[in-house]
Amino acid sequence: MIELGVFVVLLGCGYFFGRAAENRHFASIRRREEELRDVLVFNGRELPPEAVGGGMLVTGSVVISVDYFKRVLAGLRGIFGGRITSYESLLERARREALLRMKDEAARLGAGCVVNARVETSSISQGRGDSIGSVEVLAFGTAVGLSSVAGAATDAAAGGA
Amino acid sequence: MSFENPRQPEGINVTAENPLREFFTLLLGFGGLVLATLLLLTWSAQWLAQFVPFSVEQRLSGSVVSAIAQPKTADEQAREAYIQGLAARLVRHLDAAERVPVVAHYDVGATENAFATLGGHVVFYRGLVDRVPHENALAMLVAHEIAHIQLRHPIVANGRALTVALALGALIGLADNAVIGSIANWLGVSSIMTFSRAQERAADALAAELVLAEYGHLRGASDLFEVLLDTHGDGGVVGFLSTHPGLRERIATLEALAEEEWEAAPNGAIVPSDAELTPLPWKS
Repeated sequence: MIELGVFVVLLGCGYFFGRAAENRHFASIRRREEELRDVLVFNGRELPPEAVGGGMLVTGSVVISVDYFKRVLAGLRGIFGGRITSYESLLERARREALLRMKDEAARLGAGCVVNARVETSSISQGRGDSIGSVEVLAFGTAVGLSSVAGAATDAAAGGA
Repeated sequence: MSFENPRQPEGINVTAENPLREFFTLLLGFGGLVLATLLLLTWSAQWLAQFVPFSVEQRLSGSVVSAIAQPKTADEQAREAYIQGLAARLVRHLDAAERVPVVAHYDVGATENAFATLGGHVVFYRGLVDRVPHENALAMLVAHEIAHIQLRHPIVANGRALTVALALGALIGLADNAVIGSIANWLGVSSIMTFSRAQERAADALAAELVLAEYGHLRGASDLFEVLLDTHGDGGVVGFLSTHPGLRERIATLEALAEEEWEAAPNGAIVPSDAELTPLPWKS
């Protein structure tokens, strides 16, 4: 019974704290995405026509822990199959956050866009019984200045890629 | 060619549905599946366990006996001998051909408990024996444990526990997620190592027969349950009583039985309420 109590408490903590953290994070992501809308991201290698100067490697990485509730839900889903929605939202947050951090760095360097952008995901710690403990998402690309963006290129070119 | 980043609509990768709904749906499905499997296995194990020869059960009980062995004072030895004598008297009323040998032990522990286990071993704790007011109530206790042995309940309970443990082990091993294993474990743990209510009722009924055969009446037998009621309350009881039917219900059943016996008896039979109670030597 004690174990069951601990389980329910952990589940409750995971659900309430995890959900609150997720909602807060999504709100923050949406706000910052609007703020950084001027920094464009492309996964192609070709440069936009208004690209100026050299390129510079920019990265953004984030590590997010899986809460207990999501872990249990994913485990149950693992039996019956289907969309693991609890991990979908987790990876969505991580991916968008990593891209935002990359864009943030690009903006700090005065770049107007990031080309050849890539996103990589890895599980960096494992929970009990090989369950996912936390995920890392790394976004990286080449920041390039745009002639349309004031003060572009100079900083980025100075750094080299 | 124009390069732009259009706004991505929300909700493509993330569902807006509350995860609790998904959680409870899956949990109910999984729980139902596990419970159904465990029930099926439990029934099969219970049915098969009765075919295990008693000699095999005796071999399995070696560790139990060594755990019970403990140094006793002369008084305690006398009390153990008394309980063993009482058990022997009660067992005599069973059909000799079908009789399963019973070995009674007296444990000096303060636990208010008694239990029957593999190999015909029954253990009575000082804590409970001390509180029993007279021999008739003690006989009911001893007869109840003897009945468990005669009805092969320990091997059935152990067979069931082993099956459930193996099934859970397999399930936990198969589950790729430790948490799921834990859920399955909690679902199964409650059914391990206990006698079922049906077994308790059967043991009560046989015990009443033995006590009646020994004393000719059932007066005082229900005092055992009064003691237990006083000690543990009616329900929410731990250990040996955890799966027992409510004590008030057991008292009522026993009293109804005594009443029936009296009505069926020929004229001049001992009226249950007037029947004499046998005192215990250490109470006098």
